[in-house]
This record gives sequence, structure tokens and C-alpha cells, in this order.
Amino acid sequence: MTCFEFERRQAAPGSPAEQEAWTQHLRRCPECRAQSIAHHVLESSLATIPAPSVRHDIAGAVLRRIQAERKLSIRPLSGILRFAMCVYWLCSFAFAVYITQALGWPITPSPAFIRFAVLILAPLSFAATLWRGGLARFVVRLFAHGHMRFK
Amino acid sequence: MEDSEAISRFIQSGDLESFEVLVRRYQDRVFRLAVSILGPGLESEAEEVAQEVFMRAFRRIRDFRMESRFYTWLYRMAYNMALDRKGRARLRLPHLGDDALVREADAKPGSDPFEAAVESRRRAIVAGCLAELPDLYRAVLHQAYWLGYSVEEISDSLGAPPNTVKSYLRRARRRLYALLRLKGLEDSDDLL
Repeated sequence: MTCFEFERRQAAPGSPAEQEAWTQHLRRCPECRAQSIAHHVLESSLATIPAPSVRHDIAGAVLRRIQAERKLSIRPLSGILRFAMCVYWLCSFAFAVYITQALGWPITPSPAFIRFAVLILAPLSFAATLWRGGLARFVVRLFAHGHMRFK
Repeated sequence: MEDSEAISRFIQSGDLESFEVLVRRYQDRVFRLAVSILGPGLESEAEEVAQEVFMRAFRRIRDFRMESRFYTWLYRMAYNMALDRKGRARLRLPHLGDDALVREADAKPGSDPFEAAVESRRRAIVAGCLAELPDLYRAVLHQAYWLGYSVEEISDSLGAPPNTVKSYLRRARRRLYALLRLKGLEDSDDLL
């Protein structure tokens, strides 16, 4: 019997003659002996543990999490709005640079400028950050993830 | 529906049913892979890994290039996430893992206490040896002996050709045998 034949018949050596050839081969071949011992050890240990099965509906849980995530997430900006947002941020940056250049640094803003910043620029910047994406989406995802498993 | 069709439809229209098709098609394979890496006693962790794999796939599906098979992409994520989870589970639950082998021996009612103790020790040694094997070899042995999968099924789960799986099995058994000898559970003819 060769190692190849031995491996093929390892699970169930058939007739007594085959059984004898199998035993003879085991005595001669250390590699097949090692394979056979390891096989029997695994058969009598690992194979006796009940095989696991999926206890929860994985697909259902995944779909519920996706739906919850979609509800929480804010839709991305459309092309025109994204362009408008870029223009707005560029203008803000240019305006800030202009003021810094014109007035020198450090500056002491006039009361009129403070009023303008508080009433117009600050709400606009805040809305731009929260509206449809950016920081808001990140924060929502951060807090939402831990609570959606198997629910 | 083919994988590529489901993926294209999901990317283009956000159709959740297309993604559901993919999840239902691969959930068992991903779970099997995860549980074979995590080992006995960590089945619920494997389910969580499977969930996380599909959530990550959902978030990153636009990064998937159709050049490879979808399952190959999932497999890589599942393999890495399961290994990562195993590392964390070891720290969090040091009593779990291959100790399930020992519990199985202790749980048999009506057996001789001496034999039960010997069997329990023997299983503890086997569990220790299995834990020392490389992750891939342990996963292959778990799939073959614990989950009872054929070479073709393991090949399907690992995304490797059947002959490669046979080679992994041979090498894993050889390594296990060497470890068993080192730990004193070896060569005796009663094992055969």
C-alpha cells in the first residue's frame, strides 16, 4: 500500500486484507502514522462537540441596522449645493484674509462688525456645518452604532 | 440574480433588496468562516462578526472592484475581523475558546470519574495543541472535524482550491501530531 492509497482509505479500510495492508503501512511509514494519530485524536475530541448553527437571523439584523443607519444619516449634498457651499467657504476665507490684511493683526473688531458676525456669519457657518452632512452625520453614527445589534 | 447585477443595482439605486440577496447568499459561509477561526464557545461572537462584515460591506461597497469575486472580498474582511475579534475575546473572556472541548468531556453523565478525569486531561492537551496551531490551520481543522465539512465545502469557504485545502489539512495534522508528542499525548497504539 502506498501513502496515496493509505490516505484515500484512511476513513474506512474495507476487507481484512486491506486492514492488514493498512496496519503494515502504518508501521512502516512515520508520516502516515502521524496523520492517522492526529486524525483519530481530532475525531475523538473536536468531532464530538456539537456543530454550531446560526441562532439569530443575521440577514434580518443586518437589514434592520442598515435601515436604522439610513434613517439617521443625512442625505449628501446635491452637485449645485455642494458648489454653492464651496463658493461660500472660499468667500468666507477670502473675507477673513482681507480683514486680517486690511486691519492688521491683532485686530479689535468694531461693535458693528461683531453684530454682523453674530447675526449673519455665525448662524450661516453653523447651519452650513450641520445641514445635510459633515459633523452631524459623524456624531450621529458615532452614538448610534453601539445600540443596534440584534434589535 | 448574479452578484455583479445585485451590486450594480444596489450602488446605482440603493435598492436594499439587492443587498439582501447578497447577505442571504453569503451569510452562512461568512458565519462558518468566522466560527472556525474563533473556535468552540464563541458562536455568538461569530454571529456578530458576520453582521459586522456585512455592515462594512454595505458602507464600502463602492470601493469593491468587479475584478475579483464578491465572496473573495467578503472573505478577506471576515478573516481579518474574526482574527481581530478572537484577539479581543481572549483578553475579555480568557476562560472561553477551545476549553469547550474540556467541558464536553466533563459533561458526560454516568462515566467513571477516573476515566472522566483522564479524558478531561487528554482533551485539555488537545485544546492546548490546537490553540498553538497557526490560525489558518486551526480554522481548517475546525471546519473539517468540528463543523464536519468536506474538502469541497472548506475550499468553498476559504476560496482556495481543493488540493490546497488537502495540503493545509495534511500540514495541520502533522503539526498537531508534533505538538501532541511534545506534550506527552502521542504515539501510543491505543490512539489508533
